[in-house]
Amino acid sequence: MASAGDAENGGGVMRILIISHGHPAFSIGGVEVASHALFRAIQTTGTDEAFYLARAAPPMTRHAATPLMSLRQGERETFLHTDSWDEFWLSNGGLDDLTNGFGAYLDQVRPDVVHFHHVIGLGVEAIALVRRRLPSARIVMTFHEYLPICANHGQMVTARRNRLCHEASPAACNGCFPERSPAELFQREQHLKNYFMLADGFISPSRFLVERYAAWGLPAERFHVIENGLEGVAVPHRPLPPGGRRDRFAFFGQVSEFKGLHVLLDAVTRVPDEIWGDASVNVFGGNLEFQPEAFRTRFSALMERAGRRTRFHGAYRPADLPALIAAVDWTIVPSIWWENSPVVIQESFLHRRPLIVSNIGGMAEKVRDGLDGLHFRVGSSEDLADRLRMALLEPGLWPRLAEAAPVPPDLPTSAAQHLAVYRAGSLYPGAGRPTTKQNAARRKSSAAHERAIA
Amino acid sequence: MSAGPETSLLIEVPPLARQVIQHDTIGAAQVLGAWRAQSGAFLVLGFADAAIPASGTARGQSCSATPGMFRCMAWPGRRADDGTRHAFLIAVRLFDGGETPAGETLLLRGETGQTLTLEMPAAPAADDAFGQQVARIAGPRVASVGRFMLDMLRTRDGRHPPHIAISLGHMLRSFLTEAAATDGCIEIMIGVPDGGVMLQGWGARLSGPVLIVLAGTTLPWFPGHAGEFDRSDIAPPAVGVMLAMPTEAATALGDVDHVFVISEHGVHSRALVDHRLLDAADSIGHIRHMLPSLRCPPPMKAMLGEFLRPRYEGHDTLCGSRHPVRAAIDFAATGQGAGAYLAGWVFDPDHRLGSLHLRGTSGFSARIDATWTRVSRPDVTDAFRNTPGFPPCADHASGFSISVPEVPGAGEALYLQFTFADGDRAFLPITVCGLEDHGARVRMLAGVDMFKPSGLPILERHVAPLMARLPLASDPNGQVFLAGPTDRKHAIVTPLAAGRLPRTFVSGFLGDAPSAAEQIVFVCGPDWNLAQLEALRGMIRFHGLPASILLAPDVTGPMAALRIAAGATQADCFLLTVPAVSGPAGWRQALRAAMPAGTAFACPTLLYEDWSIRYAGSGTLCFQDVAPFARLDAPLTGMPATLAAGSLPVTARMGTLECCAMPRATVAAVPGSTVLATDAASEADFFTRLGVSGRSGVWVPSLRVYAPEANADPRPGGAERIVDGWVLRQRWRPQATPRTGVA
Repeated sequence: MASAGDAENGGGVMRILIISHGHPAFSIGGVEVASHALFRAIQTTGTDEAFYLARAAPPMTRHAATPLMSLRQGERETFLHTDSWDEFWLSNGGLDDLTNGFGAYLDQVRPDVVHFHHVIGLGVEAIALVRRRLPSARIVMTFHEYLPICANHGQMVTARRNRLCHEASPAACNGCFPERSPAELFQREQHLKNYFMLADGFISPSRFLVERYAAWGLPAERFHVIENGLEGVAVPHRPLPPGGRRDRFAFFGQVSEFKGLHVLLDAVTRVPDEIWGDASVNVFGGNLEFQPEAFRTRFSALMERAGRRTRFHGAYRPADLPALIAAVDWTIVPSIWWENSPVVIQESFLHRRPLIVSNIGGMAEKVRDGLDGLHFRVGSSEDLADRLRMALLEPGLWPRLAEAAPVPPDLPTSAAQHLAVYRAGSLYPGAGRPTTKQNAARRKSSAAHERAIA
Repeated sequence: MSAGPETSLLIEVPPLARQVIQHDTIGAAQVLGAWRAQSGAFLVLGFADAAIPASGTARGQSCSATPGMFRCMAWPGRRADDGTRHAFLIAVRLFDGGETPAGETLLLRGETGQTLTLEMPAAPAADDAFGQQVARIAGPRVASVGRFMLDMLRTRDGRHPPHIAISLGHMLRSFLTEAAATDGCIEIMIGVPDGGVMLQGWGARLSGPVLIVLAGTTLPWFPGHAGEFDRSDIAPPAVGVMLAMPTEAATALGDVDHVFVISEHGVHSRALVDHRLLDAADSIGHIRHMLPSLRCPPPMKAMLGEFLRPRYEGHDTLCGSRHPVRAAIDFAATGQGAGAYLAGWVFDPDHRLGSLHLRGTSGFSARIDATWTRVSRPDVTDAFRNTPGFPPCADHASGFSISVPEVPGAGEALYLQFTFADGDRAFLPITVCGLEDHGARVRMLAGVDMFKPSGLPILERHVAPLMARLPLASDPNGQVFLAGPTDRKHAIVTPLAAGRLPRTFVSGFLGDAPSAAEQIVFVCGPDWNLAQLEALRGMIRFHGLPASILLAPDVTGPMAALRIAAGATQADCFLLTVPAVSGPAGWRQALRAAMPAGTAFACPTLLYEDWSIRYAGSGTLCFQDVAPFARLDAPLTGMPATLAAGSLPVTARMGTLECCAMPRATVAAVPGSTVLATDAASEADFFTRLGVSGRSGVWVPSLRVYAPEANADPRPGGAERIVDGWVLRQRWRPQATPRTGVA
């Protein structure tokens, strides 16, 4: 498995197209934020060119004549409207629009590298179209979760009891989706692999995810581990009153069952009053209203039981996080699924807030138990309660963990790592660095493009 | 006596003639006249001193060596001028084109050796004159003589000649006119569909069986009966008269103006005063009105009673029947050359039903209640529980299923005829479908409830035998929806079911593109709608595949898809593969390469999605006496893939239509398809047919492809499996040989 640092570093201006299933202006998700951040970071390098293509979907209305749109975003940011998405097959049924819209866009931009951060909405067929239209382009895919492996929202958690799934198989997946036969699930796997094998390289923010995909059948040697870059300046620690404790805990993220909030809220009630004192858990997160009723009911009951120990603050914008984390001492990530690399971990490291995380997946990989954070047994309120007690009682623990927090890569660093991967050799003949002639033509077309949109 | 090509001389002596002839003696005869019916056939009228032989041989002087035949009717009669005592009418048939021996001597030899010579007149008699003369000479025997003449003119099947010669018509008409007494008239003609013809009028009494001659342009005659009834408007001894004739008389009524009736006692002439023919509805009512007052012989009364029975008129008369019997048909179908199948229920708590027939409007008839299988239908019992007029019923066996081997005529409308114990009838129209349609066969099988004790007997006794009688389905033709290349050497043929886009199959070509010699043929059944077909076309276009889309006329299994593709392309070699199959790059070429020349087929190792064996070489078709009657014994199926070992191709008798390469010659070697319910049975039947024809294939163990089963529950329904097993056993058990893969 290659790491980004080993990549060949050649010259020439590369034109990079970054593709995401959403744009942070309209959809605040980790993938959208990370992919757009990478796009901006590459732009600021000054050596290579970046373009950004995001999917637009109903209820957004498309143009009649074309699925392409700009939605008043940056001059190198384009949207592709698609509305024939098959979630099971990760497939786009609107092949004409894909060919004529996305294909025309490729013909116009002629990127050297196409980096898919997701295929949701565009469909795996987009990969085949890139390969066919741009035989010499390098195709790179970043996996942010396990959607190709697991049809249950890519979580690798069983559909019925939310238990961790360690390995996919047609028979096991049929247990979660009895309406899908093992044969159909097998064919889904083959279908997706047929498209993914057209890619030259894969990127993952965690080694854990690489191992999962390698076990699934993608070649491990094509994977590169690159952490998502983070921009921002660390905020100071919360000032403590005399005799005060580091007893402000926080949860940042979507309010959903997979995020394990119920584990946290239950754990809070298990800490005795004499230990808890006036500690608090602040829940920052949105989308509660989109959760199933059973979860909402349970959440409300747990919040009520936790009483004054917890405060629910609702949704927040990523830009608000530094201000929010400034008033917090600890970040808790109680997810019950195999989190890959939740951005809250990197953000906590940036602001030197120790983490208490579930002991699985990318969480366990990123946070070192006892070094820069604490682990607890996934799904166990009792174990989390023990960690909360430790955090409240053990003197010197917090400053030690905070001090050891690693510095997450900033955006330029992450961008450089990505560029190194882009410049590595392609599996397909004809792919490689652009020639001088191509560079000259590229600069000319870029200038024309900028004049056109001015 | 032959008056035309269809007539022939009777062999038996008619009873009436025997009564006239007292004894055979040799004597002389005087010929009054000879009338030529046609070449070599004539009637001779005359007197003889002694009785004439009733039958024998006849020979003219100039006739050939082969003697002819004669029949004679004689009766007491005296010629005034010379006192001869027997009048005769002789019908003579000379063979070998012998003409009427005018002016010659005709020698008749009786069966007991008596001879009679007749001096024939110099010229034959005129038609009218001869007829009149016969009538006059017949005297009081004119009725018998008339019957004798009509007997002589019957066709080989006993009917009157359809096209009577003009001369014969003249002669007969003149005879009848001379002989008949005008003693009544015909006022009404009554035609009953499938029931006969009645002529009603008045006249002298007629009784018993009669011959009725319809005098129009032609002169057909029919056996019939006469009855009489009182009429207040007619003075005695005249009575109301009803004549009954068989059904075929209806076609001869067109231009009839006169009717002659030959009864026991004479010949009667009755003119038609009104050419009015009552229509069918009025006819029945009229006869019903007449019957109580009609005095007629039992055969006529029975015939009239049959007229009055209810007839099928195209609608349901059971639902309003006074009998507490109700019925419904759940499914009805016919199969070309195979028969018919019905399933439904007949609720008859009071046991009023005498018989139940499946009938057709063109004469088809098959009794079904004698051999049907009853089915428990408590839902029917419950439905009638509180229905007035229906007694309580504890027996739920009102359902039924039946198949009959008789085949209705093309386009014939079918109905059920319920005949009750009291002779009453009711009818129930039936809408049938054709078993040539796959959907109809699916519905037939789905209608058999295998959880009931009647399920298996229905399959064994009715459904399976019917299916076994269905003829081989001819090779279907497909309609082109998307025309791709058709001239490449290798065709990859893929049947697609029910709108399922072959995503994995298509994406498999990304890493293993079709070669320049390959074409892809997708075969879609009628369950594909236009939107789905367009999506498939879009997929083909997007990936730039050299593919065609053909539309099958009926739900298509692998074999039918293969035949359709064979008809639509020029490929030499076919790779039949279901869309679930996926293999390593180059597998198609490897499979074809592993097929030696002259081999019928080649199949790779197939694995399920869990890596166990799905196909690894030969299976054996085994038969048994109990359901499911046949099974394919494939010993390695489900086992770990390591057991499918081997580096070289192995001879195989049974392949798999899930993934099979075969040359065009193999497809052509077994044309047509046995009609079966499951793909598995069709597969077994195909390869057994190949084996019987002396062909075998190879299994390539080293080449492994995945072939997960497409359906969520791929096990065929019990009914399908049992019927197919029965049919396979019926076809193949006697042909068990090691080479065929059949045990």
